Amino acid sequence: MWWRSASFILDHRLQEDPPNDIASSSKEPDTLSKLSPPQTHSSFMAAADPFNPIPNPKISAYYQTRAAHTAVVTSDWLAQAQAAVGHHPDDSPAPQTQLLASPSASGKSFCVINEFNNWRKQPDLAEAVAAIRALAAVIRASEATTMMELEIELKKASDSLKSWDTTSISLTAGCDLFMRYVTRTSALEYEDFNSARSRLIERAEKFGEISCKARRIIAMLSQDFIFDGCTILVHGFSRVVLEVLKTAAQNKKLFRVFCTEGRPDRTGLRFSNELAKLDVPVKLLIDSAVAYTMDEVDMVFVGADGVVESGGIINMMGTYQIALVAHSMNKPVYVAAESYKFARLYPLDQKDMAPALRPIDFGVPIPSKVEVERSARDYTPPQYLTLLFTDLGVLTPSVVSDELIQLYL
Amino acid sequence: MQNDLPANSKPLKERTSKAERRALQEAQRAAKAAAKAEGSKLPATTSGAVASANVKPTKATKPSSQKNDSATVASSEKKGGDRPPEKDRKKDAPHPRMQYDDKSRVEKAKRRAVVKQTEARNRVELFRHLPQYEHGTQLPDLESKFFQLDPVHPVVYKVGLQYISGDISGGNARCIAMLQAFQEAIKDYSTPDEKTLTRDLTAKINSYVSFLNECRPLSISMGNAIRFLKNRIAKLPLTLSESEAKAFLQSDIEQFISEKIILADKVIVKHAVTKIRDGDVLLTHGSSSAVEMILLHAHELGKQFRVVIVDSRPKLEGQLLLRRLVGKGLSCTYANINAVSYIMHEVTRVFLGASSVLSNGTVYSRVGTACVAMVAHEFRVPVLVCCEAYKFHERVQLDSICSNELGDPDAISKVPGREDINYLDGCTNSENLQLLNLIYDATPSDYVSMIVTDYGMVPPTSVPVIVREYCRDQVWI
Amino acid sequence: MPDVQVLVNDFINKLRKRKIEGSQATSRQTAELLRSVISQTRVPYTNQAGALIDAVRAVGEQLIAANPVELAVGNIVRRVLHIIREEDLSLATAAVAGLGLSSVSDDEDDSERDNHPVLSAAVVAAAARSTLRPPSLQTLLEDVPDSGAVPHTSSSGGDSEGKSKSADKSSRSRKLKHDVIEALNELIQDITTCHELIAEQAVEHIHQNEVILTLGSSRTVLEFLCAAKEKKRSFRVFVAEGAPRYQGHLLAKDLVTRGLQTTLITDSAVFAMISRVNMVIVGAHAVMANGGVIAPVGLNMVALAAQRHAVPFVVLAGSHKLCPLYPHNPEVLLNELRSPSELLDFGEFSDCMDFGTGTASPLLHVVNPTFDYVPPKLVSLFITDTGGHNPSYVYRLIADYYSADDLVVQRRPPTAS
Repeated sequence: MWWRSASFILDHRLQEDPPNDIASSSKEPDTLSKLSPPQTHSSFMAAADPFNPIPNPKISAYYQTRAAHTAVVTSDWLAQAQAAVGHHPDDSPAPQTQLLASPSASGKSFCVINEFNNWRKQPDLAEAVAAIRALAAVIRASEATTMMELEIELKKASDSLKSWDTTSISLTAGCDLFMRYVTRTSALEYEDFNSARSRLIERAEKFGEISCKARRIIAMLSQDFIFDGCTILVHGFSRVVLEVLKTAAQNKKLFRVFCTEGRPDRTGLRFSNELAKLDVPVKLLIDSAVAYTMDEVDMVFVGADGVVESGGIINMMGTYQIALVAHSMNKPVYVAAESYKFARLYPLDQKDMAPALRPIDFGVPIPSKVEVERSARDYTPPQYLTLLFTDLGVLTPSVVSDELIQLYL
Repeated sequence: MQNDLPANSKPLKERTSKAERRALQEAQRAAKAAAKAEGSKLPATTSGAVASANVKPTKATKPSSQKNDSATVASSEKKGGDRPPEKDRKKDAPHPRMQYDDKSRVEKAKRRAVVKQTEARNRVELFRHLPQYEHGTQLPDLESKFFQLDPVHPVVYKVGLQYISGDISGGNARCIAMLQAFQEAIKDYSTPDEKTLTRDLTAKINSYVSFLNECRPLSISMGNAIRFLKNRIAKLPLTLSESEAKAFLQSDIEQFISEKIILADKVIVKHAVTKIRDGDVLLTHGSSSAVEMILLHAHELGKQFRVVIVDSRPKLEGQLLLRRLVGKGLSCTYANINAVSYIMHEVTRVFLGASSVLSNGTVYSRVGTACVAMVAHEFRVPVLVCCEAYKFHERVQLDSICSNELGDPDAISKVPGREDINYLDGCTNSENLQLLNLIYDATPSDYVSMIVTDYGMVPPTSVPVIVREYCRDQVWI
Repeated sequence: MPDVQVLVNDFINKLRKRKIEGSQATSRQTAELLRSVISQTRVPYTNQAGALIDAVRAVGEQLIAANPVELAVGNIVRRVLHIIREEDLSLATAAVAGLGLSSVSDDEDDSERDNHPVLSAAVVAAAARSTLRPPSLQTLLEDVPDSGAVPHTSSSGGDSEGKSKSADKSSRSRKLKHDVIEALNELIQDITTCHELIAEQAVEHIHQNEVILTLGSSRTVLEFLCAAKEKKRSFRVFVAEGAPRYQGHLLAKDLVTRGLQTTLITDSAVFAMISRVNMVIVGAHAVMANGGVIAPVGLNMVALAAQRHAVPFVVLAGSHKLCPLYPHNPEVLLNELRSPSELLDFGEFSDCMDFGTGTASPLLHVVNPTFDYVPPKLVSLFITDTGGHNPSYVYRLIADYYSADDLVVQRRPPTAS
């Protein structure tokens, strides 16, 4: 039953959404970056209440963001979405926005986490970008008068941000990257405090642009690897991968895509939807059909939540097993990931990282004695990856560590 | 040269039922005694002939080695036979083969040999244990000896010459030629006075086998065929008259050829064809008669497929296959073995022939087969090995070095049809340069997806099962 | 520069007709040719580097087109461009202290997508980069010129207007050319001596009584083995003949005359013999940025066999063989099919091969590729003139030798005019 309603809502949302985006971006194309966080579509999410950022501690904040951005079709979400459809999205967020916009004025009450929460609700914004913008807001709100003070304040903010959601890798990576920029950029040392400060804010706000550009670069880089007549297996909903395939379709490449279903989020459904719009031939697979179809596949394309020190990736649950299957059948696995997702993490195995939990709907009630594995992502070691497409160029997994060492050591 | 299969025939012998074994024992004991008695009378060549497939030197390693050769054969057979069945299993292990780096044995063997081989100048260190002889020198010599070699039947002699010159090659062809020659020889055979047919004929056959082995090391499949024949001789009912016995044996041979080789091939073709689909690209290496039949049959059935023939030096047998297939209208692609990684992308099935399949699943086949199977495995292309069950053998082998055959080294330094490749002219005599012409290699069983035999399509792990079942079967023929 | 043009055309013809064989000879001659191109280029007062780069690029483009499979040509062209940039940069930094690299603009841009030969991946990489250094996380947040603005403005003018702000240009210009030619001489020197440098490392890898397998012929391998022999190591070499070119015969002969224990085997016996081999040492045609190797045909098979038996597979390659491109579909795109006559006697098969007589597709095809692609996971070690390296580290060597802007030598059609 709810299948139908899900797609209905999905369609509805698709119709509804673009105007929203356009509205918000056209309203304040420039102020968007300068001023406050944009209006939120918070009503889609349980985390909407800014003062209760983790309403459901069993569901990681990271996952909530993902769910919101990739239009995960879960029953949870359905409930919220249905509620959201009820009223005009523009209505309710307005007061909140005011509330959130005010912190810069009322200094003390400013909360970096709220700031971040608001930024990350923008569907097109990567989490790292949200983090950096949140930190920029900290600078703006700061009453520090020296670089030192500012740094300390930023450090505190980024720490609290990081500890608020330990599951999100790109949040951590984004914070680290920005902190590294603040503390190490020599140019800042020569400038007086005010210009340094505005420079920081400006760079932070440019970051969104950098992120978009990164996606475009990745899309361009990967074009040569997509040859006519190839079959690409895609897992999860990755904006970068979508951009890659979009570009390939625009370049008149002939290829077809296999999308995994991506249980329980059904991210594959959404992804196949997007591809169908581009007139790319798509085939949906249930997640367990990967090995069965791998014979026909020429390459596997996945995104990444985070790229870790070893060169491996952390990504949506299922990536690891797909990479294993592909590796054993000698198919290349390509990862598309922006370089700001590189994180100084080194998981040794699957349990060696903070699990991001998610709700799983099995469609039937599960007896309370039965345990459910609810982790939302897994770690894929580098030996199963062929190449990483990043805005730094096409990299072998070994380069990731090189870059990170150069940056942080 | 002869080391190839020295030992094979023996182990197989032991696989008989109790009653049969008893009978065999009796016969062998008798044979042994006779042989001992006659040992001195036998011409040198005969004595050299010995054991089923091979050379006496092999036996030399055993305690029984002191006895003269024909005796050895018998004794080795007896070993299997005498033992109580429970212990059979342990002693089943195949004999060590003649090791050519053992000088004294080689000397002995040489003295007995009909075919005078010249040792190759630069022997490859790693293959000291294999015979390495000059090629092409024996032929005129042998031809001139034609009329002096009375112990060898002229038909057998002719086959031997054809082996040397390479006129007959390929496992099945060699085996059939040999069996038919034996058939002739048996037809012309008459038991000398005061000898029994069973004993004397076995000795005769042994001498032929030894001769053939000197011409070119016998293949494992031939060893199996010889063992079959000797079994039949040993088990001839004593009541049969000479002519009856001869007719009996001839028909047995006939039956072996038709059932184990010709019919078996038909069955293999029938099985293998089911694995060819329209649009397939089939790759084969060298020239295998079974694979050729499969391809032609599939073509006759109207299946649409392409054939890739991968060929390798020095024999370039693929060219002959190519000629025949193109002549029949099949669409073919020809490539050198080096290009196998290049071509493998488009291939959907690999069909390979085999000289023998060993009981650990190793496929012993024309050199290069292992490379092709390996690359196919790497590209996840299924590898089908087509091999008649009479080529299965219970020996095991892990690499291609312990047992192999060395071809003419000069074939390596010269490239026929490419006169521009003459870099090595003039330095082939340098002692630093060795030319190695391996004939076979061993393909590990994990590269093989399926073995197509006359018993159906089996996984390589089931080879010992076939060996077990087949050996019992063989006795029933 | 008429003389140069003659030289260039001459060289192009040779490349087209495949008269030059071996990446060493090719790269040396390319470097020499480019040296004369540079020395004959008249340098304007402003933007000297730009002029040189344009000149080199124009020639380089033709050379690469003449034989796209000979990657060494492209490598050298890129190396030369990199040298020019580096020299220019060092002059500029010397001239104006504090004037950083930041103003080097960017010649390539994203609009390259219509022009997508093998190299075009690199185009875009170049777009991402704005300095001589490849882009890195460090610079991610730093100021970068807005790539949207750059596209067509600077393309024909070269990319160093920014840099030429420096004071006394006339002396710089002469100096630049001089420096570049100096550096080029060094490069040529390096190319000619690279196997000596590689061979010096032989004793570290070859030990007493080892058995070494190689396929085909490579001068570097020959020198390497002989160097070990000279150090009184006695070992045995198996040479696979490398059909259908049979270069292995040549190598075997050279080894024998130098007194090494040599055994010549057929290519098909590689799998049989590899279990007794301690190390496979081979040469390469080119080393790609991911650590993959374009090598003489047959080596993929050898590498697989070596992997199966855990035998180290060592590739010797001079740094001129490092190619900054990532291979995609290398078996096809970076390969060259040679004449079937090397495999089959035409006379014998003439009736089956029908060349353009217009009838239905012939029944017989002959495939005779020149190269194999050996993926990085099969390579144990690269020995270059700068030492031994893992395949996973090749990216770094490449970053040392090439600048990101030069990955694509071919210019966009509009600017080519």
